[in-house]
Amino acid sequence: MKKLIAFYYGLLILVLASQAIYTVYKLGGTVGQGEKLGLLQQQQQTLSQQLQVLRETYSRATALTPLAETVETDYQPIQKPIILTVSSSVASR
Amino acid sequence: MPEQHSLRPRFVFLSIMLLFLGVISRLFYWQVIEGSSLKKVVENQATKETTSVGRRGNIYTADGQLLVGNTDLFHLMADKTLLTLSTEKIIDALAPLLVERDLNEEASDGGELVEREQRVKTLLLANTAYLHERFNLNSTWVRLSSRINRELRQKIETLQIPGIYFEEYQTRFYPEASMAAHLTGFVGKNETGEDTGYFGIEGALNKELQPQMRKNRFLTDALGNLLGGENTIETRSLDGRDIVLTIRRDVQFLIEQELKRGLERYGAVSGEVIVMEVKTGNILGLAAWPNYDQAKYYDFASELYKNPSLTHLYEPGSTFKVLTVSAGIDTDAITPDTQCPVCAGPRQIGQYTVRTWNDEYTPDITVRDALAQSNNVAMIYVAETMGTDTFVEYLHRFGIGEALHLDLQEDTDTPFPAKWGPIELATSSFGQGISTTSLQMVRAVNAIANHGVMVQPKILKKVIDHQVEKEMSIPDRAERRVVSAETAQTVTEMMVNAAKHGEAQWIFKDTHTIAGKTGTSQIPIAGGYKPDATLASFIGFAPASEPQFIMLVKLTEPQSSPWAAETAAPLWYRLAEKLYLLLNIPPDSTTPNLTLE
Repeated sequence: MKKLIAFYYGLLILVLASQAIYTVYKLGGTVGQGEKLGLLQQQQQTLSQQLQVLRETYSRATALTPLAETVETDYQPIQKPIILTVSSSVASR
Repeated sequence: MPEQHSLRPRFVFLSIMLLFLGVISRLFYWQVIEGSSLKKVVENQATKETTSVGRRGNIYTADGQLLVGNTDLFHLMADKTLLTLSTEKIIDALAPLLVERDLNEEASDGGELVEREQRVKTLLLANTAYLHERFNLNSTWVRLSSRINRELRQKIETLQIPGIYFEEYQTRFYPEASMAAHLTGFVGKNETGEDTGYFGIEGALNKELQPQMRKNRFLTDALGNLLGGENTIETRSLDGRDIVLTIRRDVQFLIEQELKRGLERYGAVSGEVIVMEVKTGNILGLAAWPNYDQAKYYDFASELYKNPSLTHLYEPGSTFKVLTVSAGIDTDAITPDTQCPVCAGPRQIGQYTVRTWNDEYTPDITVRDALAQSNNVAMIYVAETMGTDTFVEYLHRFGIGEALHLDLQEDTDTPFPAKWGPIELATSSFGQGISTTSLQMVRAVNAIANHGVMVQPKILKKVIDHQVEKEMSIPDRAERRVVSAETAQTVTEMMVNAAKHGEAQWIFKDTHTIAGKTGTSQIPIAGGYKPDATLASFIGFAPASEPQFIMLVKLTEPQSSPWAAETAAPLWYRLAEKLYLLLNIPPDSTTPNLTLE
């Protein structure tokens, strides 16, 4: 009878211990995944912030209005386009 | 003894029952009576709340260039409990850096920096005084300055001053300065201090552009740390919708620059240029001067915020004759070769005498020549021949007085004359005594260019929603047929004739056929018209055979000449020549007078 009781409690302890280990293992995995996800999301946020800064810098660098102010002295707009027709002599000067 | 045996279990049972009753009543007290308040206490202890706010939507030109965006700026803050240096030392370190910022801002505003040393001294004194004032405030945390950009923040951070920190905020950013300010509008604060769009696209599409705000709750442990798997980072986009306009940056830049030069050249007070695609109604550029700077809108008079092309009513003058002639031809009241039998001299209508602009009269002038010579008397004849009701009906068809249905805040119906007597009919036939807006005129004449079909002008090309990762294109919309295709073709030919042989013939270029009409009108004031002041305009489309664009140039009170043929028309042609290159429009004239250089 005593053996049976010892076996019963032994089995019970084994089941409870395995359940506890399994739970800790699964929770550890969840926490690890969560941390990894958090890290990736943080990286994504940093990258999107960098992208925003790059876009802003690009827009400043390629903006027409300040560009025209700085290069106006060198810039020569096409005043009179040369239009060729079938009767035009390209070599004529 | 047997009696004792029977009492004990009863006593034990009663005790257990009382114990259970006590537990149940206590549970009832905590869970039902105190339940809701305890729940709140637990929620406060075990949860953390954060608020995430997205960015306001950007505004782009049709060619994908950023017109209005957002930039991160910082408030310079001080926690006085953490300061280890004296405020004098901190101010001495910070003030020169803030002066540098102020000087850069003044330079970007186009301010004069000739006496730089003097300016530096003044700004240094001002910043030092301000910082002293801020440090002396009776508060633990004080805002020392704002408008700190990333570079300046880095410089301040290298000083490593304990107790100095930064708070981030966003502001609108305009890489192209004040380009298309009348179209974009600006962002200001509403009565509750929140960012709100005013005027133009910012005002009309404020709800679309506005970012979302979201409150998130996270589970925490007793020390306030987030529980495993929880993080405060917002993964879903909260950004407002991006708006893509129909305007092209190169076209907008060109017309703004040329308009400014035109105003200087002709000494005009103000002016407008509108360029629109004929078939789609896409507005490629809309420039108006005087302008304002969206970033510093508070420095400008509020009258400048409104888009004049949409809100300023004007009497269009002779450009309106295109509509009169179109109505006459479409109703078969006249043909281009109809001769005017009452055009030998001025017309007397009641107490009023109506003359031609140059007081010259051609008896039996044809309608074709009358349009080319901009003959007022002949236009009265055309309007009278078709009758008042028909004329008014056609003006409604052409959309005079009708809102543009554009996505701009100031877009509304404009007044349309209620009384139509003989003199109202007469003056309206040549564009005086009737008011319209520049965009209404462009829409009306565009119906002629578009084979008689009116299209709705469009400023919005696309809306990009980041929250659902979706792009919504705005379709072109034909509004209605105004005149028949044959009428449109006939009027186009008459407008080509007007451009070739009219008042502005001296500037006519023969590479591209242009259908155009000048308009010189008087400017109404209370009780009459402004003496010695005119409003010069030129409206036209090109190439006339297959129109690609329609353009209106309007100059108010030009000083070099009162006439449109000598002011607005040359500016129109100068712009058109550059537009041919930008829009890649080859010559369509069969006999171009071209020479190779």
